[in-house]
Amino acid sequence: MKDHKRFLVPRDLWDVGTIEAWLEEKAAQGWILERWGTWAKFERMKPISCRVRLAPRRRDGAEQEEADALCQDLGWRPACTAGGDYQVYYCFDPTAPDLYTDPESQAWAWGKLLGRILRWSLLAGLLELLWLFLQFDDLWMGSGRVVEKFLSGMWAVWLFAVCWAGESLWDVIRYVRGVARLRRRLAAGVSLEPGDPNKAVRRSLRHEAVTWSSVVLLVGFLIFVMAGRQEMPLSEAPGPLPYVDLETLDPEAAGLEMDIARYETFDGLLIQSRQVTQFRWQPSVSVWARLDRVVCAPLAEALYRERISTFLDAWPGAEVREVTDSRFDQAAVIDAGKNQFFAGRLGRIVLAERAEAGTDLTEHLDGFAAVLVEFQ
Amino acid sequence: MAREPLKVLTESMFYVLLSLLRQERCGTEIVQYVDDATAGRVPLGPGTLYTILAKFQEEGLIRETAVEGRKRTYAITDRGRALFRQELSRLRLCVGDGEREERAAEQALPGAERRELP
Repeated sequence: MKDHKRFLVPRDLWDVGTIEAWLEEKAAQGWILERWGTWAKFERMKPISCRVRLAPRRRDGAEQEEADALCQDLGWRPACTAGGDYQVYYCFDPTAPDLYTDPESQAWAWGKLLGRILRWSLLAGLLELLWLFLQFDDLWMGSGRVVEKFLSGMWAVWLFAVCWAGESLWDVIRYVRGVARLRRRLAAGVSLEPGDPNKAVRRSLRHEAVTWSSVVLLVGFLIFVMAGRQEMPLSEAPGPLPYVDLETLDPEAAGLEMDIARYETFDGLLIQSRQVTQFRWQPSVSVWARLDRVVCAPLAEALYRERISTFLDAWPGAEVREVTDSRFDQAAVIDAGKNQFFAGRLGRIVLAERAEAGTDLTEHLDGFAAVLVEFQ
Repeated sequence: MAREPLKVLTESMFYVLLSLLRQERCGTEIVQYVDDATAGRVPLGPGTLYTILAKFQEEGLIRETAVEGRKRTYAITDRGRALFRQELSRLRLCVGDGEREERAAEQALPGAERRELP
């Protein structure tokens, strides 16, 4: 038979009365607290009816030792600390006076601790709000490729961030409300009210299950996202390639050896992407093309707009020429001198191609239309 | 929030101050003294005692005189004595008021009974 066992503790440490009742119940079942934690460690003992009290822990170690010694002299055995701020005491002598026999002094004892907890809880709430705000800085600051990030998997991270922060904030609100209520009760000289320990543990269990399931889901998703990425030399890329190639755009430049010639693919839940990068430093020649198949047309439209605005952010003075052509739902060619950019959408497919070559992309609309049709 | 000074003592606080009037005592001695003096009527829990001692020290009503290992001894200060006297006067007034009212009630009671007789 095991001499030690771990039990999931009630989650709300401010609910002192319920925790005391839970520990008394455990003692009656033959388990005495040895170390506090989310899964507290208990030591086996003879089942016994006893009183358990939580008291604010003194910050001065010597004072706490002295208080513990006095408690022991008066029949209260210190067990361990709980959550850093509380000391747990057991009393097996039914004739010993209670730990607190004077409501006013009990209110003093708890007042400072609860005040501190309230301040820290409020600060924690503010920090969580700030953290949440920073998770979405791309949205607020207008920087970055929000649609692309969202489609590539950030939606799950953002959803997790919102749920986690929402849950944490709700926790802070409950904590603040609970502590404030406890303070009011103590100030009024009303004894601590025990709740239902089993209900509190069930709540804790639910919370643990939801938290860990979310973490596992998120980690699993991130692994899935990472596994969905592939990169290879362009020469090894399986055809057909999702772009109008350099040979078509600029046959002269096509004969040059490239410094970079890469093919990347990404298969996510909301988007499948194929990307080609060809780059030569001197003389400067480059082609970058990306074809995305998006889960729905509205998101494809948003991605199309983002592709255009991203190019315009880099070349603000560029000339935008909207293309009216029945082969595209939306299309535009942007001329920034030697750099030319084409963006087109057909249904859920978005094609973007940037070329730094001696060519005008408006002359290659047939090629872009063919690529979009081929990848439908 | 500003700290509120002690104005009225609870029974436990009163007896803690009382226990130090004649001599210095440590925590366990205070508990023992209060238990003897009140014949167990006023129980003093360890949490209560240490909170009271800490608060009294903060208020300058008592001071620590010796520390031997984990045992600390306390003595009452002049301010503590003054507060004790003030509390004693208040209690005397309460007792006086109570006794006067009780006597008046006792005197009024037979008359009231007589008036109710046919």
